[in-house]
Amino acid sequence: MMSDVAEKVLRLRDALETVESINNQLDELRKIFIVVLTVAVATLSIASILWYMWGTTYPQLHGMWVFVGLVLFFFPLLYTARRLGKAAKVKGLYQDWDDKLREGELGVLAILESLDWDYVEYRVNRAKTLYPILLIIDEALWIAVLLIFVAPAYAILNNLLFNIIDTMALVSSVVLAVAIALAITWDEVVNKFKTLWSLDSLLWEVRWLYHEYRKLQT
Amino acid sequence: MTRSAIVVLVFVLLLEITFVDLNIKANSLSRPGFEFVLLNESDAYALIIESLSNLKYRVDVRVEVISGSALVILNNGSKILVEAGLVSPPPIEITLTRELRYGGFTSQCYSSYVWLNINGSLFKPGSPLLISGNFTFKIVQASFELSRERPVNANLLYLGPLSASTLNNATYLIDVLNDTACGGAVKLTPALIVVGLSSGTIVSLSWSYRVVVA
Repeated sequence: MMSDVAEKVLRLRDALETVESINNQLDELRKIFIVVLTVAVATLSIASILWYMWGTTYPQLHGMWVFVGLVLFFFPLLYTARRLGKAAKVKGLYQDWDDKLREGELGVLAILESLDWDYVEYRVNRAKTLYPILLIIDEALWIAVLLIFVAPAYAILNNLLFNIIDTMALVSSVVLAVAIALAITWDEVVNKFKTLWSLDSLLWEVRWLYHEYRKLQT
Repeated sequence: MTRSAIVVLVFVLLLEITFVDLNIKANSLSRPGFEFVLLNESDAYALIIESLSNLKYRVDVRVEVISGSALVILNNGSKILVEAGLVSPPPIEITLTRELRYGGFTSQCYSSYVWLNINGSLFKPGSPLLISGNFTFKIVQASFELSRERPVNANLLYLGPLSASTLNNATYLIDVLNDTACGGAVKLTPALIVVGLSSGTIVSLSWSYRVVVA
């Protein structure tokens, strides 16, 4: 009986870590959006000012737009991936649960008593509702990274086979990148959805156990 | 494993879609042509098909003599005599095919080709000639533009008057007109040659072509 409860509490811990990870990343999105927008606007403004001031005198400044394009592509990609990666790591919040579980029933009770159920419910609901946004951003990052390799390779292949590089080749490389990105991230996405959508029943189960313990104690 | 197979499947499907798309584009290029030509005796017109190499296409030509009489030389060297009459003769239908439905490495070719009509004989430029006495000289020239999006085209060319000996050797005539341009990337094929057998001969020519999916 006790091992069953401990297993459920551990499952709850893993699920809550996933929930926290998603929430942390969602919190980070606002900051990322502001930073990326600021950098994009600043880069474009500086480049436009330089172009209007010296564009006609120094036509070689045209090459600057390539640099601007690279900044606008790579900066959001690297910055978003780094910030989301950092935010995804949840440490410390549920680290002591292992030690408490070793204490037996009292430890379980201490764990469950320490939980603010309303807050947990709010965090779970928030994660469940907003996870699709995070998923889209995550997939977009994967697609962008894959496109760096897939688009040139597909264009070369198209040129070799059909002697043509057109919009169709670009669209096809995006489709291919989407397929590869989904293939890579499929397990993770499915697991997260399973975790989030099975969390309600787990929460109710653990809450019920908590009340049973309380009853036994009294 | 399953996911890798799906990615490979998507990749193959995308290539096939590109291939089909190119073929659909190539197949919708039919620009039919129609011309009336007035021929004096021995005057000749040739319908030259310009096509990118590695292309399979079909050409349908209809020849009708409105007045007078004409000799039609087909691209295999055979000759047909057509005379004006109350009942119009059945159309002469030619199908030319080239190797593949779509391929090759030429994306665009803009060029021209030239033949010389000297004393009623047709020559390719650069052929060793030994001509003595008076001679009449005519340059037969046409420009063309072919691209992957427009891989086949037809041109009706006035060859000038042809001598009786040239007309007798129809195979030679076809050989001269069978040529390449654009560094061998474009194949020139005479669909047919029509020659007036009497002055005032009027011939109507209409043609259409399609890229054939193998």
